[in-house]
Amino acid sequence: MDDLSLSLLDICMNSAEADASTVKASIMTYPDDHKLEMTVEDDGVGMENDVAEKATDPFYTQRPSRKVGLGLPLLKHAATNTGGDFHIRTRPGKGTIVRAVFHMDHVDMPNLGDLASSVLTFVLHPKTNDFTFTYGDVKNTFVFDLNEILRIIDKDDLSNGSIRRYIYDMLQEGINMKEGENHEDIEGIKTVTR
Amino acid sequence: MKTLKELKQLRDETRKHMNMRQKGTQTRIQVGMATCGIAAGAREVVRRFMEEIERKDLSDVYVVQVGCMGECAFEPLVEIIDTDGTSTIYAEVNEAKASEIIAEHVVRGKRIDKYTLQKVKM
Repeated sequence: MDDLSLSLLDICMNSAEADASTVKASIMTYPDDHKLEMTVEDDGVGMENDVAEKATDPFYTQRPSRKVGLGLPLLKHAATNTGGDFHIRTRPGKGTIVRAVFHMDHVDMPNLGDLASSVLTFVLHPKTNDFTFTYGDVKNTFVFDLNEILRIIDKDDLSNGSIRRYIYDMLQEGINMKEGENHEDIEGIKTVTR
Repeated sequence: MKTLKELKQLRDETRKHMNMRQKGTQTRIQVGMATCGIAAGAREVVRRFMEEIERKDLSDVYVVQVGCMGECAFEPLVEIIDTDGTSTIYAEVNEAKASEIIAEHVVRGKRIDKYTLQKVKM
């Protein structure tokens, strides 16, 4: 994958394929430790332990249902290349948590890429409803909650480009939020100042 | 600053102009969005298709993201299912090809043979 935003979309797609009804994605940075943590948590079908162990083996997949493909091994490789970590926690019938930790100051640290585009693309997926995307650091956290958006618009409204652009801009605004800005009064865009 | 209130206003405005969709008589554009597709640029291809559909006001065409289509080396793969059920699979689709596919295949009803999976694989 060229950048982290594509990995994020890919892992979220795994959740959709695993029939998750709730997907929680987050990218958090910890500047003091020079670390970035990407997490995707779902309540999908999950995996048996032996499957989860093989899930990061690039030569393993569960065809034809293809619950696991090349995505997890690629993400693991990207994270460990920076001296980071990679974990999967999963239980059959309960769901899966994928967590990748990157060392941001490592030469092999991938670019973030267009996170707003990945989030919007996942929002467009027909199965995506209960979805949150959290982005931030220890001081400011931006939460994009699709539930809030879907109280206002229907999925069908997303066929309109100006609606899509508005949501894209919303995401960009949250992702590029500067320290000290406060969006707390707006539902759907929440910031938590710690 | 973007707000949900403004989104609501935008929704009301756009709904006034929205054509009612007739289910069942639509052309379906399926874009492979598994790891292989995403890595090859499917995210941008989906966006381009949606932009073109809107620009050309094609209310009877819709885009749907699907999983792996089995020919990972030729991603992004795009399957067009016409209203009569005919299926065409295009390979190595990029944004420019997506615009061409809309103009030629979807609007004019002329399949672009040189972009089909069959031809690209040869």
